[in-house]
Amino acid sequence: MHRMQMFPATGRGAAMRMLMNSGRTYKQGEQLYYKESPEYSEQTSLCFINPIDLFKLEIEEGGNVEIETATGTTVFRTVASYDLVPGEIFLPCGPYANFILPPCTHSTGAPDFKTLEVEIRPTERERVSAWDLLETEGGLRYDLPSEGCPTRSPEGDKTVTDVLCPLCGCVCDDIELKIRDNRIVSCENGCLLCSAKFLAKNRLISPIRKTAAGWKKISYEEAIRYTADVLVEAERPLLFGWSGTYGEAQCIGVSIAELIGGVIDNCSSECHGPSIMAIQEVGHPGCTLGQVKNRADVVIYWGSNPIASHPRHMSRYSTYTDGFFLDNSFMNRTVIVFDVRKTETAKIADEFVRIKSGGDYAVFSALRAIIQGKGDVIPETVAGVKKEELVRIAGIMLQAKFGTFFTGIGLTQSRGKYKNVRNAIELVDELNRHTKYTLTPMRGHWNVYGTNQTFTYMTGYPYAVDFAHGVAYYNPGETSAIDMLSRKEVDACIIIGSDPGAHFPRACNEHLATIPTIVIDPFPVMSTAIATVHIPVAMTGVDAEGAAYRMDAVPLWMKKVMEPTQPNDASVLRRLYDAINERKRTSEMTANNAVIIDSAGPVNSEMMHVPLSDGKIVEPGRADDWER
Amino acid sequence: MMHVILEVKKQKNPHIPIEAEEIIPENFVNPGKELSIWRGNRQVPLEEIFDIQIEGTASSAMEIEVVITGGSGRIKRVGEYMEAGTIRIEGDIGMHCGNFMSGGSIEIKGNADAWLGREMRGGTITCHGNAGDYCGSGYRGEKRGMRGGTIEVFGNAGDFTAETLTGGTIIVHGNVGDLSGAEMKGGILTIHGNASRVCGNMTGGTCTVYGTVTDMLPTFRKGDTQERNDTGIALTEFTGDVANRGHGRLIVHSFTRA
Repeated sequence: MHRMQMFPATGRGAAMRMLMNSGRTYKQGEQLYYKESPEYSEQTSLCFINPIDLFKLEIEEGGNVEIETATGTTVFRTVASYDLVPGEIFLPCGPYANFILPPCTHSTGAPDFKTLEVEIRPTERERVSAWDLLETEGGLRYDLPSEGCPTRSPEGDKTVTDVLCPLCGCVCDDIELKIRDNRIVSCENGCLLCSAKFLAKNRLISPIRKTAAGWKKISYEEAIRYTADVLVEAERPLLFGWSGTYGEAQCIGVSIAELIGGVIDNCSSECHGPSIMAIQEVGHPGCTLGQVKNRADVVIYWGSNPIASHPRHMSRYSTYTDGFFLDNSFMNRTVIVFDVRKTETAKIADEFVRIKSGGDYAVFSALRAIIQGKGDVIPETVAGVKKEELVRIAGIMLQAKFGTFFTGIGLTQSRGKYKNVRNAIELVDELNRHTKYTLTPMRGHWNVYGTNQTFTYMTGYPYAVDFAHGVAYYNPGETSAIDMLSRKEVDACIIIGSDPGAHFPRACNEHLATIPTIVIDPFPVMSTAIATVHIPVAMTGVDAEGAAYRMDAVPLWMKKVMEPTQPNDASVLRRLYDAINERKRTSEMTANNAVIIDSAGPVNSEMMHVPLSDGKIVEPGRADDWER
Repeated sequence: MMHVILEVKKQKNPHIPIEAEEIIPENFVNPGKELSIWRGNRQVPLEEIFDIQIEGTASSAMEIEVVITGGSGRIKRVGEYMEAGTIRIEGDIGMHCGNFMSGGSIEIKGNADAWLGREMRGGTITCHGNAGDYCGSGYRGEKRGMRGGTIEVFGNAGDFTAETLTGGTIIVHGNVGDLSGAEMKGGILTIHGNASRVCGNMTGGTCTVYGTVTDMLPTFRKGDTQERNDTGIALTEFTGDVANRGHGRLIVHSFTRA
């Protein structure tokens, strides 16, 4: 604190109001499965800033800055970048950016990860670690040394080809893995993010439970019993995540939600959920990625930076790949990037259109009017883009034989959210009066589109499904995870295949830290800190298998390359389903004797004390014990 | 005339949402009727959440006034599908108040949460405080929202106010949030304060902003500016949204471009 008081006396530049955008950098993506490492903290606590703003703040590159919003303040290290316009900063997504992110979603389910006004000032303070932030939010760090990797290769050392990658929505299917001594030792063909995930070995071996004396190992048996007790008692349980697991497990999750009258939501509520809300309004002019690869002569990335988020997207499906109906496709494809900063993708595109942060909606409207021949209405500039530039780009769009839009979270997480995507689809509609155009959202997680598919075929709705009344009800903004958590209405939570600890606004984590929260994940993650129990499982694509949907909704089978020694997601969830059913039956039998309608369940604090153990300790992490 | 006074009891966990679509005047015509509401995933009798006092008798919903007092800020769906009678809320009210209502009136002394009067068909809602997002709007994926009746908000209203407005009148005396009047198809939206990016993609209806519109969308065709005799405020008329069919009227006092 004394340093904070010191800083006005340092004689440095005054505080500045700036616009903040946060998103994926490939270095942040590389660290996703090493969140306990100092490198993850390093890569997510950077602040990319234009040198002109560094000059105004009177600091050198590498100097620390405090960034403040109404929600909080934290310290970042500056990195000079000419990719940004003065007045705007870019933060890698992660616990630091989310520590200062207000939970307001404007009733759309997705908070303002982009176009957020912040105050920035130089500071002498040092950065803290990601675990420190989570502890400030009420969590407890998990920094015990890793017990290694639980995989087994009964065939001994081997090389496996055509493996599917469980990282981003591209789900590349040409990965080659070398296995030595029951471990993956090399990963060919994959991108940086893919290799980092396949080579990650710091798995959690046994279920753990938070106690006053720190983390304590428990058996799977106990962990399931605790989770079932918590869920049966809860009046507003939330089952969140699902995009990091496979379709079969997701289906059991939906059944659990229905059984307990809970809300089941998936990661799309904070990423591409707004794209789905737009599709519900005006339809989806989609196609498979094969169509794009073989036909598209104009490819438009809007609010998306695939080089960082989907590194092989351009080489497998668009820019650099050969097209069956396209001669000399690399030379004959036009790539247009619309973004607020000159991203790595923008630098290699044929055309880059820089839009003022939050101005996408206006640019879509203007392009629609121009294509309709009503360009006379359009003012000289629209969101920082000159009118003649828009007219010229519209001309390029119209010359396409087959054009495609790839829309990113630059649209869904900025001002206007789903209305931006709706306007994009209406632009596609307009272009389809002249030529052929399609639009595909750049889905993030490998199976996040799968969550929308399985949820929809089981409940009728793609995410944020509320079973409180026994029937499915859907309303992002009301039944979506971030809104429910920031309103503190959730009284028990399961997190599976996702890491809100790293990717949810601070207020949500602060609430999760006060209620029974059960994390189901192969790795210790940021959410472990705010959990009461963490149940480790086999990792899909390595020692578990199941169905996934690629970003264009093509279903693919994720193979396993080794045998597990831990249960997989589906078997944990099935056990949980059975345990809840058992409790429901017993309580119904008791309730039939008393005529009272079930009254108040215990509140949060009481539920923290649901007994966990009858004292019996089962040796953790043994599959044979599990399958018994 | 019948007065039904519902006083919210202190809740063990006040954050759990309560869904009370059965609180409409019609349901109190027969005082013996058993009513239940939802607290989270538990269906409970009305008495568990409220202290109920009933004064007088009534032969129809029109003669009934329901008064809600106490901490009602988390109670959703009050007045949903109501057709007649009066609901008076002394404090704040939760989401979806007056959804689909077709008659009668709701008066809110405090603030209303999101989706006030969603897909309303008729009747009157008066909110003396602020209204949340999606005031007088439609539902997800729905082409048409509010189709009749009147909503008057004396404070501010949130983002997406009057989204897909198709009929009826919405008057906001304060400011409205971003993208209000988006996809408006008919009806009247009057904003006495400021707005931003108002009426995106509108195809019909009339929206008047007596304050300033920030980030005015580029696809509105500018018409004449006239001094309004009654208020003395200069107003400029636009037609749009020309990105769509452009038959809407947008009348603003002043604006800035994005």
